[in-house]
Amino acid sequence: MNRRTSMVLALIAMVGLLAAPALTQPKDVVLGVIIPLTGPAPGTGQDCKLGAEFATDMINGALKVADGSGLLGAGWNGIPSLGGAKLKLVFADSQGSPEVGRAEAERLITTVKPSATMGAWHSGVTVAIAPVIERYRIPHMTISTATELTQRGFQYLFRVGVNAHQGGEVLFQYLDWISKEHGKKWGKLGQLHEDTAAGVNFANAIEEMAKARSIPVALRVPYSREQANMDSEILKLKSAGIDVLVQTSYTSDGIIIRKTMRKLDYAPALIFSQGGFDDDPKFYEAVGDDANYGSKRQLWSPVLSSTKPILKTVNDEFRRRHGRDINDNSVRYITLIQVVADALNRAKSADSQAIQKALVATDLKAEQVLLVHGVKFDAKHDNVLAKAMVAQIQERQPKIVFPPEAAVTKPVWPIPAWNTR
Amino acid sequence: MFGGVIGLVAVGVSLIWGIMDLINFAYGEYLMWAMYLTFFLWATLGLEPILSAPINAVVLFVAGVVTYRFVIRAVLRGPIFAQMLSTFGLLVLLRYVAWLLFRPDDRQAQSVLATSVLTVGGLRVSGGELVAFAGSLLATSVLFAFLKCTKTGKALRALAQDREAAVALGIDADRLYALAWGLSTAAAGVAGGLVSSFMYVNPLVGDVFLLPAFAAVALGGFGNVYGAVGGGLVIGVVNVTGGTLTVPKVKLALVYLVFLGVLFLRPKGLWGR
Repeated sequence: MNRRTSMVLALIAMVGLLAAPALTQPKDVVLGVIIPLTGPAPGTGQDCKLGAEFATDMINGALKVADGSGLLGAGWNGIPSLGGAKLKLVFADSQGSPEVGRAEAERLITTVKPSATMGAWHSGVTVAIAPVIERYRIPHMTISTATELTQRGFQYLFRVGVNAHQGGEVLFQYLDWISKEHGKKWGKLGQLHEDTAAGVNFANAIEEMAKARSIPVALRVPYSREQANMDSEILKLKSAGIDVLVQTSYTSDGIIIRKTMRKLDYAPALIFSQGGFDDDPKFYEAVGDDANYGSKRQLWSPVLSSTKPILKTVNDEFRRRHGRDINDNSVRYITLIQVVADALNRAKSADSQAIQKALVATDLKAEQVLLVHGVKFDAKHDNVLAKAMVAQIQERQPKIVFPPEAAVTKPVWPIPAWNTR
Repeated sequence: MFGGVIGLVAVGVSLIWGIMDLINFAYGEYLMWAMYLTFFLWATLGLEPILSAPINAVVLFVAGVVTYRFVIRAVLRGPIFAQMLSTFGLLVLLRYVAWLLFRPDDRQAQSVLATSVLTVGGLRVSGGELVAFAGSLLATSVLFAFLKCTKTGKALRALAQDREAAVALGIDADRLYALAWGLSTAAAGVAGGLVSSFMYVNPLVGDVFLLPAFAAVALGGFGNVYGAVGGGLVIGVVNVTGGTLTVPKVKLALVYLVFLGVLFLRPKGLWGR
């Protein structure tokens, strides 16, 4: 071996040694997140993003919170069974549009090749994305509520939050409770909803459940979001004397509706929503105190820490980082990441097929995840443990009023007339 | 109340239609840009949205004149399809530049007026809508007075009636066309300031106003500026009362049904000649 050859060999050996740590370093697990970062609900998308990043930092070990507790991912330093592989989030903006969402899902899957994806918050967008992820066989986690999503036999779609039926159920329990326990009377149930998947599905679910209880739905008013004037919708509800109003709206239409309610002096005894406009901080900025007294199905509240102490620790850390409490959107995205991390850990692989199999067998207890009641999927991949509560907006904050064991305050019933506010 | 604003938007569309025989498809986009101007004036200087209407009028007037000089003048000699396509091209350009700059987010200026509610003879209206309605009527009245009483206004009307005769009599068509564009887009500017107290703005918001405005223009009589206001009011009334008396979901369908009915009975529109 001449001097030159030995030098070349030594160089190769050195490069090899330098590269060695890189080779033993486990590969990042890429997760695609499709959410509305711009468009008609940017506030909600932002909350989802904060939640997903918070959970990812916790799992990657970049954020120390609730170490030593039973919370899944607390104290981890990457995915344990994958040699500490870190999660890497790649975000895509659906703009709240089904077409954009579908194109973005396709782009994410073909370019960054994620092990799993999640999104897209708007039910209408998730409906558009579902066939794409099914075609590429990528496990997809969602919190969209449209019941139909899980009725179509998709193998790769998993819903962690409540579906429209689970979310609607709590309304009837609440109505039952308030008339029996508090002697409150109400007359007519009516619905006002935007006409995409979220609104239509929830309204159908409410109608079905009302029928099963022999409660007539006196009036159903669907509307399309792109309009400047909602006078006739509100006049219709007012003249029909609807005093229990079930409303599904996104932010901008939700703002116009609440302003029109004040203008036309329409104050039903109860406004119940499945979230949406009243999860978005922008709604509160726009209508101020007029946001008060609306009720919504709620999945989370920091005050639940009295029954689940870990929530307070996590919420305190979240508040320290972002200056606000965890809300329904951030909590569900924290949980989505936890569920995927758990599946990755059990699958011992970042392969999509293996993750899908592991997801099917998910069985997370209430104390392991942030979402209140735990996660376990049925044959259709709905979370059988998902349950909702009722919160009423008081002092611009959602406060749990039902069920009594979780309640922090008493409900204001009926909603006070506009001229007294 | 809604009809008043549609009327003002319709007047702007009708002005160009009447004088130049040209449909400005991009009109809604001028309105959208005016709404963004209002929003940013509010966001940076805290200016009450309604008060930005005159500022919008000036800025949009200049924008209209510039559009005429650099885009429309060149295609006026071309076939009618080229003219229509050029305004359609403007629509795409203005919309997607806004999309690029402002993202598709809904934004809304906060207005003191919008939250106040007044009861007028048993009818409840929001302060914002009332001012928007009054402002629309004022702006259209000023425009009418200008068209009716000033020499330039008369020249504009002469141009609308018979271009060749007007030019033969020494009217400078080019300068007046530029003025017509400026006035038309200035109306969009005023409307943008007026609606911003109760309406959010996003890059697609022009469509919400433009379609009813087109119907108002046709309803009132093609190119008839006065008819456009009447058309706008009819549409506003049908929109709200029709939706309330039947099913709100069909209110826009009702508007177009009335529109088709009028065209069937009076093809030149209600006030068409």
